[in-house]
Amino acid sequence: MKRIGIFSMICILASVCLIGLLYAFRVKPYTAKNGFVRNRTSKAVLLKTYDLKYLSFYFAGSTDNRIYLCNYAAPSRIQTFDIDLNFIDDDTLKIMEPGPYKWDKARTCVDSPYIYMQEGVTPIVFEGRLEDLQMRKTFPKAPYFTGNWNLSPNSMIVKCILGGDRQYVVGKSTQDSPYIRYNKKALTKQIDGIFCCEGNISIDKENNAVVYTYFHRNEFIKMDTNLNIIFKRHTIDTNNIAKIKVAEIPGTHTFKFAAPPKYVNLLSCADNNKLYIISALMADNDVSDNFKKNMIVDVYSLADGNYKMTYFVPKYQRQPIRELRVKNNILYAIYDKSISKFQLNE
Amino acid sequence: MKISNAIEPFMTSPSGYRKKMSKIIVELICVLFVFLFVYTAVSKFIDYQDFKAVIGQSPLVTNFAGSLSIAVPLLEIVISLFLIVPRWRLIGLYASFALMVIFTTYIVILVSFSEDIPCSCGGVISRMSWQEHIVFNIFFVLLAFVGMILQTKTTSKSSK
Repeated sequence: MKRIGIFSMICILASVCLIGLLYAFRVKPYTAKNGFVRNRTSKAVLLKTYDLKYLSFYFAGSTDNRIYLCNYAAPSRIQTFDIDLNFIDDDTLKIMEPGPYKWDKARTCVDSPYIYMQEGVTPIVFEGRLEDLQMRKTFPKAPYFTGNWNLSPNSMIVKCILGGDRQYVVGKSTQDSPYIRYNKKALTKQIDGIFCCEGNISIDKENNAVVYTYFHRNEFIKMDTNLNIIFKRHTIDTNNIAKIKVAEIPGTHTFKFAAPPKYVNLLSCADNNKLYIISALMADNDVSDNFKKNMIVDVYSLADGNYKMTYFVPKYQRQPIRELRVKNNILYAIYDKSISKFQLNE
Repeated sequence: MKISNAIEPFMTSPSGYRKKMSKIIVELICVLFVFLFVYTAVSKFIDYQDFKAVIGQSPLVTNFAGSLSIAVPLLEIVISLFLIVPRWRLIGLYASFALMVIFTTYIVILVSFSEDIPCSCGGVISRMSWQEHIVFNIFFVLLAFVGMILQTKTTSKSSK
């Protein structure tokens, strides 16, 4: 009996030591020296925080005096706030032609006075107006997409995986012929063409700019709204090549990461001819404690693509920022269950 | 009165009866473990590439993904064999206990300290939430512990 006690204790101690060692020597790409510095830094000033009470909110859009939030878990609901984060309204979109769609993939986009709701698996796009929220089918010839960004009732930018090339491309989908036009040159394959090309699109409407920011490499691409490339620029870190490892699962045509993927750029938002990127990487002159407590927002000029400065935006109760919007030097950040408003001083 | 009569034999039963009970319990525990290990090992081998990729995503073991993806299911099969053969059963139970303790520690540390947590436990077990997973594992750790005690008791008594 005594032997069992001793054996159990040794087992527990040994596993704690073993796993503890594995943990101590784990792969941690974000806190290592990354070979670049951030010189012009400033702290974002918190103006207000509002408790959303639920997870999985995202920005649907905004106007000069309204902010619209939607939730992946309740796809047809839309919450309205004023720009000081005072709750105004909670509404339900009226889907006039319901059907068996992939609602869990649906995303709503507000571009006043229009509102769109869409998912790219079916694919289906609904369009309505903010005043009555009656959503009707539009874009009958939309391609399959993994993400889309509405430009107008007649056109939208889509991100798709093309079957033949098995690669991510961006395209512009329109109501009229030719319905879809891809720019196959915009995204460049480095490893597998899909994971290595993953990224986020943000649109600076006033300046007619469409910006693609890669997640895994230090690059962003500025295009016009017809997806003609204006320039490709590098972010300040040194990750030219995506550091990811991908495995093909035989017989299933599926691909999976085979190692923890290294993220470079987490979130991005274009506004007022500037690009705001939340970087995952610590600079050599960043203080580790500062890096743990803040999200790092690097600002680039969209006029020439040059780095301008960096803002430290505090995490909320150790939660990272999940969604980011910037409008005229005001930054809105959605955390797990709350939204905050910050002032960005130059 | 009747109830206490019914409990009586369990409290002061002759050692033969108790031994029989513990033998049955140990047998049940072994069956559960063999089922668990064979099931998860086979599902790991069937989706071998998938399993290898997913444990590669773990920040803790990514450097050992290649060897672990073979070693873990193999170990599970070997332990199952030990549990099946009565003479080796005690060793099998010790090994099951050790393996489950390692798995549980791994999950607890991963869940409490790490940010992204991939799961690669095989079959339906990977559909469990992390809390369920921890409870499930601790249940099996306790099972192995009970198994070790009962098996030691029964074997030491029968040898007397």
